[in-house]
Amino acid sequence: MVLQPTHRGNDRPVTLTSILTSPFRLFRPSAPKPAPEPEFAVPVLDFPEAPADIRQLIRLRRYAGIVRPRDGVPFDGESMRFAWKAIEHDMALVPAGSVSMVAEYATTTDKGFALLPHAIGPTPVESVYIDRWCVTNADYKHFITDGGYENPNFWPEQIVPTLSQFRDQTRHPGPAYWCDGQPAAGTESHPVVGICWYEANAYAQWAGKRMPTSAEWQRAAVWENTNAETGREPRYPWGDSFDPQYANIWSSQRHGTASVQEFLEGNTTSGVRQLIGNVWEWVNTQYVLAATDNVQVLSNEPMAEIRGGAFDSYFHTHTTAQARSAMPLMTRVTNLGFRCCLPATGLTPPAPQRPTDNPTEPPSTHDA
Amino acid sequence: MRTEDYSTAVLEAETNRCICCQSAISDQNDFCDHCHTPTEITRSVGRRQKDPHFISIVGPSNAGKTVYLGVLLDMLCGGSQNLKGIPNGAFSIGLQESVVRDLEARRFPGKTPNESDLWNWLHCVVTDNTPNEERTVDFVAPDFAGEAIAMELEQPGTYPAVENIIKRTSAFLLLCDSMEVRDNGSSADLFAMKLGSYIVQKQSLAAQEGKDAITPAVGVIFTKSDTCLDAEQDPARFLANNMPRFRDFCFHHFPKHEAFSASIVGSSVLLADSYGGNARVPLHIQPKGVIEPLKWAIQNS
Repeated sequence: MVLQPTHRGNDRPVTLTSILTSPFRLFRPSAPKPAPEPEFAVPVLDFPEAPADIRQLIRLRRYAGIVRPRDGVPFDGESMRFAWKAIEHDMALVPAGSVSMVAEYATTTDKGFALLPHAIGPTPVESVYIDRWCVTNADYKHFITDGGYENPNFWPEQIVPTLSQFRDQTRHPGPAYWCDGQPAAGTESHPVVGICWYEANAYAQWAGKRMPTSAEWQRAAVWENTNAETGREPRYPWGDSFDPQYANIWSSQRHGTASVQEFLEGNTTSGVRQLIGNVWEWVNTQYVLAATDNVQVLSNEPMAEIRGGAFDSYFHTHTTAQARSAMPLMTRVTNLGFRCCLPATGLTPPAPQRPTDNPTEPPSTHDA
Repeated sequence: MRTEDYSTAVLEAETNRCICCQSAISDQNDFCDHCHTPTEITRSVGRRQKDPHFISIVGPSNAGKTVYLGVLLDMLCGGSQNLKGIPNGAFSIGLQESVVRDLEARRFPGKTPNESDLWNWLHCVVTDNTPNEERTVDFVAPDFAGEAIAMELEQPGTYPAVENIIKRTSAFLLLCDSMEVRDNGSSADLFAMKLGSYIVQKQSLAAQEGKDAITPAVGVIFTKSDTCLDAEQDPARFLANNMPRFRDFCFHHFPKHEAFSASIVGSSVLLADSYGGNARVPLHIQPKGVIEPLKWAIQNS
């Protein structure tokens, strides 16, 4: 059988940010507004003893720009120390290694068209810091308040003319299901949804981070429990058996998003939450569907991979750490959010990472 | 002169009436000779000693009837929105099993064969635990082939099972492919009109034959609504804008009617083969709007 890639002829993930060359502007903090009392409060990292500008950047979760300033001018040691404390709290280190990627290819069978699994094999992954939880509504509001939708530096050139499409229910710039520029009351600590790939990417740039690639996302989910000798990966961050108490999918009977403070039993050992379930996550990898010679993929819009499944995913077998799906880049739906990452290469933490960071007991935080 | 022996006596004792066409059937036959309804479904309903509640899932070919019915049954088993269903008999689980297996393998089930003796049937005891509206019904539905329905509309009598079920149905769920309705002009509207006329005609006949007159509830479900935002957001308006003839027909003939949208798939890709055929394959499954029409049908019939 001959596999014929329909978009690109190589199995390596295609990085979407590679098409984005716009510089972006950092450090335009604005004062956060008090939020209504939610069921699960948003953890706000705060260092009152930090310099005022650094404290504000950390409250906005824009600390990545301190450890890796875009203009190359390094911050002072004290600022760096606070930024690293924030990174250690908010993000988990995923060391370099490889993951076993499984794609699929389209073919015809006696039952018609089918997608059959196709092992890509070990894919190398550089070390990254990955967000312990998805970007929340509260986080995303900071981006909007800071003029993220008005700043062309965060958006690819071809998208700028269509920015007016990215409106909420009341025509304010923002996620599709917000009203009057606000998320639904009580959902501040839920993952932001109703944002397309470009909106997720713009936020990531504003925060000084980027979205993880598909392989990086998968490695974050499995590296701690991958068999070192055989390379066999667990199906879920906690093992091979699904448990609806560990991840918010259809069988969990929530039928809606949950706060990033819930389903903590499904955390990775290093405390990365909700990789499985709650919301699908955009990743920085173009969806490439290979096909046999007799099959053509009729795709009229580019798609990005999405990972992890969501509250409405019906089959847990579609939400494993290895399973992949895809959505057109402009899709804004109720079950699709994102998290960010920060490449670790070239970054030097002031002290070795603690072996186990447990975000269930966050250091020096208070609720918004 | 008839000689009664042991085997005749046994046969007589086991003779029953087909739940679909009421013809005499024998337990020794697998199917009703007249309408090809499986004897097992008659036995299953008979054991419950309750009148079956026929809710028919109808619609043109490729509207998604099999997938809808299979997922509906699977969701009823797990319980959803105060509805809980228990399939009665292994044959009822057959449809659920094949649909779930295919969807989990990220493919759609094959086409339902036109031969009525190959159709899947289901008999499910559904309990509606909605406060103040508690009710238990014996939900009986065949998985009709769309082409068989179309043929029966063109040439009544071709498919006795279709005719007889329609006579006895108290709620219809008419499935229409959202994209077909939106993009292919009046054909879906006219198909629905034809079906509506057929329903009215057959149920009037049934009333004349002395059976209880039924004014069925009709739910129009725009399927595959993940591919059609207009249908998903406001199915009633979508019905009015794209199927105006059938909407008017409903106002005159089916006082209880409602529009719904439903989807099973969260994302899909469109594939084509070298012979010009094309079809979507699902990337992941996230049912939406599946239970609501059944709940409405049970409460309004």
